Amino acid sequence: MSDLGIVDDQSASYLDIDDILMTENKISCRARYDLVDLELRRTAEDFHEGKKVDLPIWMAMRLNEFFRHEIPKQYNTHFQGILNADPEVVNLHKEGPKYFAMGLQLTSENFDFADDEDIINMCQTLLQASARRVSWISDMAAADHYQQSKVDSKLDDMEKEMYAKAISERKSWEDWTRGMSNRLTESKFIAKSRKRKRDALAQKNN
Amino acid sequence: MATILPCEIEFLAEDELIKVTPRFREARLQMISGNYGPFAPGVPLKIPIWMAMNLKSRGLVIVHQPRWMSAEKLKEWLDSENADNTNAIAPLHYHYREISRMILQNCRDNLSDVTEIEQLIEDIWNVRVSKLKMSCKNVLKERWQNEIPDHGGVFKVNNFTQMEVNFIRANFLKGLNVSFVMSNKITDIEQKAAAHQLADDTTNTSSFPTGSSASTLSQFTQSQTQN
Repeated sequence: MSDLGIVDDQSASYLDIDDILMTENKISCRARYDLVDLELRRTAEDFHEGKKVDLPIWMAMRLNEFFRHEIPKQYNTHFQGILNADPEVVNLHKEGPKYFAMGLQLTSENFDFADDEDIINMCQTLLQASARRVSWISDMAAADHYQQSKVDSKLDDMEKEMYAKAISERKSWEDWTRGMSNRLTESKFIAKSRKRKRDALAQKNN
Repeated sequence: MATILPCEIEFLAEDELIKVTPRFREARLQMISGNYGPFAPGVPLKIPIWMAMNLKSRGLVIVHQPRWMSAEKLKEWLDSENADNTNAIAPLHYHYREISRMILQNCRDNLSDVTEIEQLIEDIWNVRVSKLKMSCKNVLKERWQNEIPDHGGVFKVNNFTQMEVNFIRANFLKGLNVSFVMSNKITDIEQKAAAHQLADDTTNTSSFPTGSSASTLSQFTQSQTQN
């Protein structure tokens, strides 16, 4: 998910696979009124007022009038405190692989959380955390190769893209300083096709 | 976001002129980028680096060391870079990194103090790039504290060469974009929250333009000089 701005844009996010995956995440909602005969979970059920159910975000956004939403665990005040303290250490991949995108989605108007101020604070926290993590990522990308998989497992999707790009840029830079960028190399496609032909011939002969 | 490769920047740098002494005789060459005068053995003249590298690999010229590429000048430059902690000093040549790499790779026998020059260029590069990275980090950390204008803000970078700017370009732009998107979000919801609160106040019925202060702030073209 490279461009976080598409979270708000209806036409851009409709077909974007990252956005689809992100809105598939569940949010716990409480019914506001007594609802009869809903088929949210494949069977007709009755909801009394205040009954809890887990709905995916895309559904929860549209059913705003009938459900009150709750902030998920990874965005609540307690977790905000953790992020504010030390954002580089937190494993954002575990907290939902699209942490930042989902955070931005939660700020849209369709949600009705009990505590509006908390959302504003969450946005501030996200902003500060993302600023610090971005500089940390660029530092890590310039460091040794041994740490790569360790760092990679802690990043959420948007950061993973940044990290991969930074690593590839650094590699092309190092190739250039050693003068290897002027060499012609065989394309991988050709090399693979040649190897397959050789394997097929070897099998025929056996 | 498109970026430019280091080898492409090197290609652009190859147009610079360098002094050589040819070993062959040739009439005036009229090429697209300019006319390069009659070549006579032992008579030095200036030709572009791409031509010089090609002729050198065929053994037809002797390449002179550029005047800015002497150990003393580079040492002076390195000392002045080390003296100043945040700003970068004006570089001795705009493409110093690319030209030095090409010359050091191809013309080692025509130069003096080769290892020293290599070391000095490496050191100068490290110092400058670390200054640039530090400024980038500071910008990212403090950017959200002021209101980010509509076009995203303008940053001025003094005295850095194309190669160095390209080194940090991808990550820095990404970081700026992310902070821009998020900061806009925050202003949006703050405006809406203010609008909700004002709608709750039953005293004033006249239309009060909410968030007007925020929008006028964003009209300012905020250019922060980055040192």
